[in-house]
Amino acid sequence: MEEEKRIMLVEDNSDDVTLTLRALKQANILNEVVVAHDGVEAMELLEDASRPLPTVVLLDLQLPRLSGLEVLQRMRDTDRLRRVPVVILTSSREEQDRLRGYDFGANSYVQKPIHSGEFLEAVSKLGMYWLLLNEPPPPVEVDPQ
Amino acid sequence: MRQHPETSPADTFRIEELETILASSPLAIVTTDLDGTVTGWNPAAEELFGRTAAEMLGTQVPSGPQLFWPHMREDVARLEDGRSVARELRYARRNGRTVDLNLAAAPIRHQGELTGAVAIFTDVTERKAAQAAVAVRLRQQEAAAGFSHGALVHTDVAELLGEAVTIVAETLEVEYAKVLELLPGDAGLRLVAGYGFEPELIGTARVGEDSQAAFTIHSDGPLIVDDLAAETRFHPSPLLTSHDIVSGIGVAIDGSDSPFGVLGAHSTSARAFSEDDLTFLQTIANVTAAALRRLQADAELERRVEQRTAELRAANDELEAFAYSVSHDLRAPLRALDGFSLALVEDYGPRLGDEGQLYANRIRAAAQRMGDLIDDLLTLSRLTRKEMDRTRVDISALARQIGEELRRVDPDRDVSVEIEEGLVAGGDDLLLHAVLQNLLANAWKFTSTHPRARIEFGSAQIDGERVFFVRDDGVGFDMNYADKLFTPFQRLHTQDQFPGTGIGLASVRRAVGRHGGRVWADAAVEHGATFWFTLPERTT
Repeated sequence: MEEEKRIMLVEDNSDDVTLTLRALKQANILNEVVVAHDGVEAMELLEDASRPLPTVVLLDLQLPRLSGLEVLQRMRDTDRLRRVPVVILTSSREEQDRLRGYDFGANSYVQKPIHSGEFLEAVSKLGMYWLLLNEPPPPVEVDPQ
Repeated sequence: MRQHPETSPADTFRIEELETILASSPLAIVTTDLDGTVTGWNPAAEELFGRTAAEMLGTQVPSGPQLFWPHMREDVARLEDGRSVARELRYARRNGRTVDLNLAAAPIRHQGELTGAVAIFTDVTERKAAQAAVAVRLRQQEAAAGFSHGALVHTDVAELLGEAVTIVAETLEVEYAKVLELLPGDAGLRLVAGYGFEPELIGTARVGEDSQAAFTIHSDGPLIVDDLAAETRFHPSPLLTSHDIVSGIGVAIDGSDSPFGVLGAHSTSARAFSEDDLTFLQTIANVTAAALRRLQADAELERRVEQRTAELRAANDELEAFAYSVSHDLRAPLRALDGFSLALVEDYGPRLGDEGQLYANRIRAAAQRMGDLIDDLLTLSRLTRKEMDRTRVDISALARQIGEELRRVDPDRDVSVEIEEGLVAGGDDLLLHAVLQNLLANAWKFTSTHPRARIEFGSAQIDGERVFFVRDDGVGFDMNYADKLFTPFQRLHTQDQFPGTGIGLASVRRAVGRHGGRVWADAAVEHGATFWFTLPERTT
């Protein structure tokens, strides 16, 4: 009955992908991580009905093609994706980004720390919280159209 | 003069004397008896009234052929009462010209009995004309002065020109006045302001290159037209002929490079315009030209301010974009540097050896420091970009709160922080917080090598100006390097002595500068430092 919990990481920077995956591994979070390297790929993966929805999306903001905020907007405009928890994980601490992130329906906003120790801790806490502590929304029944 | 029957030689002499006076007087002298019969008419009277004594003697005043003394009966009555008579008269000569006369009358008595009157006429036509001319000139000068005054404050070209034509028409007492603007190329001129003309013509009516207006622009001085129908120098435009205009005057209105156009006054009756009329019209044209130049300069200035503002806005937007990209893009490689260095130590530590691990840690420390620099630079940039939000700020409270925070983070130090109470300044809360945060944190940092320290925040009056200061008794600095203090990234101590990015005081200067204030410091090595700053109260 219990569905396999998985993380979607939307991140164009391969360094950050590697470091994030390593941090999750170090925190003993061994769930599947689906990586999308830009906004368009992220939407394709999310909209593919044959794929199970991620338990949480870790979303970078500055992405090629479709930006993180645009991905977030589209998710919130799509019935099936409306309630999927989204954590904005970005280098930016700009007020504008934070405002719009929450306005568009982000569930959390985390600035990537530069310090590796802090980064490890942040990723580990995020994994723990969203995979173990947080109760995900119930699955949505979508009319096939 | 009538001869009386008994006349002595002395009387005869007296009479001859009087007749000589009468004959040679430049003033017209007329005598009448009580009935108004003319009894005397001297040569000056013949000259003035154009009537000979032979014609006039024996005729009745005022029913005679010429009404030269219309109020004779009334005046004689006044003389009988012992009152004086002085009148101003207008007399129409036979040739149609009128003359202005002053009349003074006196009684003639014979043995105490009133027998007649003597009337003395002075021709004051020229004097009156001169007075009238002076009055006209005064009125014109007054009108020109009034117009000049208004021209200084007008901000609208149409309004200015409208006022010019109105004042010209009203002062010169003509039915029409107009301003024509010279159009570029050979397009002729366009009516841009008019008095007496139909409103729909203004802004639309045009006259050609061969018109009176065009001729005025090309002629050096003012143009005078006595009779438009007889004009041969130019082709009267329909604009004038359709309004039955007969005579007029026009002058050019100067522009910056080429003439702006023409100012004209037009009358539907034959009119001889005076030199004063021309001077007046020229004055109005000159004032109009000056006002137009001012308006043009104002418009140019405004355009430049707008352009400069747009440039500044663009620069600010660029700065914003730059700051954004700094905050985002520069961090990512740092995270990689730090992350992979750590991964290297953690995953391959044994193979790196002690020295290799040390190097990896130095890479991490450098990345960390660059991260701090980026953060501080962003703070500095934010202090520049932030909109000023001026309120009354209790800066004593602000300083106290920052002091408590410093103590909380570093509770083991023996520092006395003394803050003057009740200091209030007008300014932006966040910017002032940045000023005090940086200065107090610096004071805290640069006293850290002393076992006990004293930090003071207060104010003083220097040359009548209120100056705030943050003073410490820490390590101070060499005043030779004081000019470097407020420049970004300039530091007077090594990282090992006192860590820092060199952005703090640059931020202070920027935040104080945005309030219109100044900041400076004085210090001596090992004798502490004092940082002064002003926050001018805004008067507007």
